[in-house]
Formats: sequence, structure tokens, C-alpha cells
Amino acid sequence: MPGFAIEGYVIVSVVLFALGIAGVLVRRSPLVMLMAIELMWGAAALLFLAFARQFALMDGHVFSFLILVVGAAEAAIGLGLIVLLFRAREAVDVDEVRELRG
Amino acid sequence: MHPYAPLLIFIGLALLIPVAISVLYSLVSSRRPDPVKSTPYESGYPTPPIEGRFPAKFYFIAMLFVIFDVEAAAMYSWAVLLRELGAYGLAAMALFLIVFILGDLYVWKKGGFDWT
Amino acid sequence: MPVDGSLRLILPEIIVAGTGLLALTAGLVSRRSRLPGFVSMLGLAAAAYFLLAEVAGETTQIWSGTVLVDGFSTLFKAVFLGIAALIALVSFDYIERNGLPAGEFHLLVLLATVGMMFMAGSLNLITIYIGLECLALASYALTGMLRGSAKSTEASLKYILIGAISSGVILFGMSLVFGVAGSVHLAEINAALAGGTPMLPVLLAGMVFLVAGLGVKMAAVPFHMWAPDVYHGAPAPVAAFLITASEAAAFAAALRIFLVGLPAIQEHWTTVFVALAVITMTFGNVTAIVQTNMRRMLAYSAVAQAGYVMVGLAVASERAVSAMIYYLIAYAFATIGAFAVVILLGRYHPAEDIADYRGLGRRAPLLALTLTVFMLSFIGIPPTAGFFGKFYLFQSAVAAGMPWLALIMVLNSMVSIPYYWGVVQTMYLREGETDAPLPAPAGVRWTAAIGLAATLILGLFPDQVVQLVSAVQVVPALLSGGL
Repeated sequence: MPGFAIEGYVIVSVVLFALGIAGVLVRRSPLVMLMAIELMWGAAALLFLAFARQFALMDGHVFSFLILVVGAAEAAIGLGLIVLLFRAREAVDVDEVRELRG
Repeated sequence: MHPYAPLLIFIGLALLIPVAISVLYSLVSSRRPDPVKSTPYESGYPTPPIEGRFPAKFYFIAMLFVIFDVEAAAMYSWAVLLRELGAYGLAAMALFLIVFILGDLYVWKKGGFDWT
Repeated sequence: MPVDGSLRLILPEIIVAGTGLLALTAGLVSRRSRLPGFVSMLGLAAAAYFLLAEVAGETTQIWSGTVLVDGFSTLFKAVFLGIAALIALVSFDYIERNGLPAGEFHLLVLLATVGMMFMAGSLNLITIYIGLECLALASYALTGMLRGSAKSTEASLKYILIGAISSGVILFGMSLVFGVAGSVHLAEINAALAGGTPMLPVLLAGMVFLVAGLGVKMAAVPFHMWAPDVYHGAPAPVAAFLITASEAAAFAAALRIFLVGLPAIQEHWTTVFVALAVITMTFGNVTAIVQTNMRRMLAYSAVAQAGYVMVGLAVASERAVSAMIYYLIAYAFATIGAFAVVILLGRYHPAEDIADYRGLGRRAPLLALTLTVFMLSFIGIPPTAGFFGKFYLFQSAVAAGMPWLALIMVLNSMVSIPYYWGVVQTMYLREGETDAPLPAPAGVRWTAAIGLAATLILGLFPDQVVQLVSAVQVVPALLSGGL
């Protein structure tokens, strides 16, 4: 693949992944944490696409598509849980959720 | 270079970015809280404590949207190669749709499409 | 990709998935909450029959290498089917009592089982990942199934957040490995790395991400934070399911990924797994001592057991692999059996404290006796299965020149004696508030009986079982070159 510079994609992907981890660690709202996690997944998908382009392989494309599908399912379950949690006690902050200890 | 060095760099980067963002945030933002500012405000009325009526509907629509969205993406990639995939692709897609429609019927039966 | 009869080889998976949809439908149309359970058990039996009659003995890759059928996968699939059937059996009464939606419960258990079957039955990272997510998504929903219980919802939220992070980490690790080796198939990755490891730092980063991500699924310290909460907050049958099947699936996937795909950098991952194994078993055992709640005690004990199994992953010899599989099977039966008693007690004492087991020796003598056997198996006292599991792992560590690792295992087993034995003492030596006998529902009785029988059979005929298990190869024979 002439003229295809992979470095840029790798750097963007690593930065995205780091931002995702940072978001999970810094933010306390489960909704924003889920968004940050999606960022991590997106970083991995981007890396797969970049490498797939580099090797001219279909596998990476398939993988990144499946990551999107699984991400959607995950988001649906996560949202459902957050609604459940909110209904139960109006807590949308993970630090307020602490029934289980020990 | 030691083989683990890039890993350390990576971890350092991962730690640095949130710290940098937090520091930047606290430097740039101005925060002068006073009691009036930190009370919840609702068009001049005294705000009741948040309770009960939480519009779960929107979350639900969002959840369904995400699922239909991705389902459409799967159909799209099949449609692009419709002719090449031929009967096998059609059968595979039919199977996928049967499972998907079963899921839809389930949501319907549970009142998930009742948005009024 | 024509339909060429290769569908036959994943018929067990298809049956399980189809049974799940049937169970869901049964739950919708019938008001009898037991029907989905029966449907599920019938389907699992049919799948097991096809697995053993049709698929067993075959070693082949189908569908461009996305699915692999071999002895290793067949053995693990049989274990998963067995565990799922036991969970269905033990949860009849639990579902009724807690008003869980039976159709959904069984659907999710079956879908999780399908996911695990694909995790064990592939050398392709894509398929392994999809299997992993199929298992994970179903377990998040299962964990949060007790909708009225704040504990269950909280456990589910923690599980999905940490689980999703671990998925992201695994994905990133997989993408780095893909970037270095240029393939998502483990055998091709191995071939690409065999001639030397280009871009070693990137590969090592990928390996570390994979270890961390899979470590979360195995509940290895320091990635175990979710485990006690989830095993405590989830519905009891789900907790038993996750401790046994989900952990076994994570180990199956890890064995494939590291032994088939990454033997080129074995020295690096061995170091990591040795460290993780030591930390995990020590932390699990020490924390379990101070627990007063039965389920939290079992949760930390599960963490410790994951540490023992990880010794096998660190040693990574053929002997160690068969020891791991033996251990996982033995541990699964004992855990589900113990959870049957926990479920029964939870019916009368929702707090599930260890103190609630006072006087159980009089109230339900047979169940108390079976629980005693399970505790002995956890400690590792002959002639229970747990003893031989530990013994084989110990042996493999010594044979691989890591006697100190074996020594740490033995020391840890000693540390674990007080908390397991404490339960037995509570049952027999402390007076209960009442002597009223505890009637046990049939499902619970049968599960405990099967667990007891399996624990004793595995313990009395260990050599025969190990012979059966050691015929299994992590690196399938069709991939010449192998390890």
C-alpha cells in the first residue's frame, strides 16, 4: 500500500485509548464511564482498521465491524442497568453505589 | 532500548493525560461557589427534591435505536455483496433476521413499542 | 462458503442457541415457570448427545479457520454443557421463589453457554472475542436479574463497567498482536513469530494487555475487584455459574491464546503468570479468612482457586494443562454442590451469613455432610477430587523446575484450612436457634447429590480421569510444528 503511513493511525489510536482509560478513572458517572469505554473500543477498532489496510487483509475490517456490533449490545445493556439503578435510588454516581462491601 | 521501555512510556502517557487534563481544568476554570449558585434552579420556582418520574422512555428509545442501527449496518454490508454471496448469503441473512424478529416480537409482547 | 456438512460440527452450539429461543418463547406463552427450565435441560441433553456421538473424535478446522473442533474443545464444551444443566436444575426453586422471569433466565444461561463453547472451540481471535462477549453480555444481564434487589443491580453495574473495560483492554491487546503478526489466526500468528519476534516491544505490550484483560475474566488479583461483589450480589445460581463456567472458559481461551499463538514469547508471559498466580492465591486465601458472609467467603475462595489454576498456566507443560482441566472440573462440581446448599439456606436466612449455618448438622444431616465433603475438597483432603487437582498441579510445577511455586501452593492450602473448616465446625459444633428440619426442594437435593458423586468419583478414580483428560491437546495435532 504505497503512501499509507500507519504511524499516524497508531498514535491517534493510542491517544484515544489513553483518553478512554483516563475517562474511566476520572469520571464517576456510569453513563460517562460507558462513553469512555466506548472510546477504548473505538481505539482498538481503529488500530484493527489501520493494520488491515497495511496488510491488505479483510480480517481487520471484519473485526472492527464486530466490535461496533458488540459495542451496541453492551451500550444497550449498560443503559438498561443505569435506568434500573436510577429508578431504584436516583443514584447516577458510582461512588453512591456501595451496598456491597468487604 | 529495553523491551519493556515502550510499555512504561505508554503507561506514563496514560497517567499523564488525565493528570494534565485535570490540572488544565482547574487552572482554566474559575470557580466561585456561593450558596445561591449551588442550589438547583428551576425557572424561579423552589425545586422539589428529584424523585419518581424519571423519563426512562428516552433511554429505552435510545437502546432500541442503537440495536436497530447496528442491525441496519449488518444488512448494509450484506446488501453490498448481495450477488456474490448468492443463495448462501440470503439463507444466512434470513437466519439472522429470524433471530432478530424473534427479539422484536419479544420486545413487542413486553410492551416495548408502547410509547404513548 | 457453501453448506458442505460442516454445520454438523457445530450442531451442539446451534441446538443450545435454538433451545434458548425456545425457552424464551416457553416463558412467554406458559404461565408455569418450570417449563423453560425443562426445555433448557432437554436441549442441553440433546446438545451433549450430539457432541459426544457426532463431534467427539473429530479434529478439523472449518469455515476458513474460524471454528476448530478438536479434543480440547469437545472436552470443554462437554464441561460447559454439564455445568449449564446443573445450573438449570438447581435454579428451579430459586426462580420460583424470587419471581425471576424463567424464560429470560434460561435464555441467558444458554447464550452464555454458547459463547463459552465458541471460546474453547476456535483458534481465531475474532471468534474467541465474539464468544467472550456473548458470555459477558449474558452474564451482565443475569447478574442484574433480581430487579428488586439493590445488591443485584449494583453488582451488575460494577460487572458491566469492569467487564467492558477488560473487553477494551483485550481488544487493544489483540489489535497489537494482529499488527505485529499480520493475522488473527493463532496458528498463523505462531508461524509469523516463529522465525524471530519483530517489534518485540509492541508484541509485549499486546501480551500484557491480553493478560490483564483475561485476568479480569479469571478474577486474578489485582484484576479481581468485581468478583466478590458480583458473586455476592448476583442471584445465587448465577454466581455459581460464573464462578465455575465463566472462569473455566477464560482459562480455556487463555490456554489457546498463549500456548498456540504466543509460545514465541513464553518466557515473558510465564513470568507474568507466576507472579499473578502467587499474588492471586495468597490474597484470595488471606481475605477469605476474615469473611463472615458465606457467599463472600466462597467468592474469595474462588479467587484463591483461580490462583491455583493459574499455576498450570504458568508452568504450561502438557502435564500442567491436564492438571488444570482436572482441577477446573473438580472445582466446578464442588462449587455448584456447595451453592446448592447456599441456595437452600438462603431461602430461610436471606443474609447468608456463615453464622446461619449453626446447627445445620441436625437440621439437614445429609446436606451438611455433602457440604462437609465439598469443603474438604476445597481444602484438598484425600480422597476428594480437590486433593488430586492440587496434587497434579503441584507435581507439574515440581516437574517444570518450580518447586518454590509448589511450596507456595502448599502453604496457601494450609492458610485456607481455617475458613473452610470453620464452616464445618459451625454446622456441627454450634447450636442453632432451632432444630426444625430444613426441607430441600428436589432440584437442590439432586444438584448436591450429583456434585457429591462427582467429587468422590473424581477423587477415587483420579488416574482414569487424568488419562481421559491428558489425551487432549491444547495445540491441535493438525497444526504441525505446534509447541
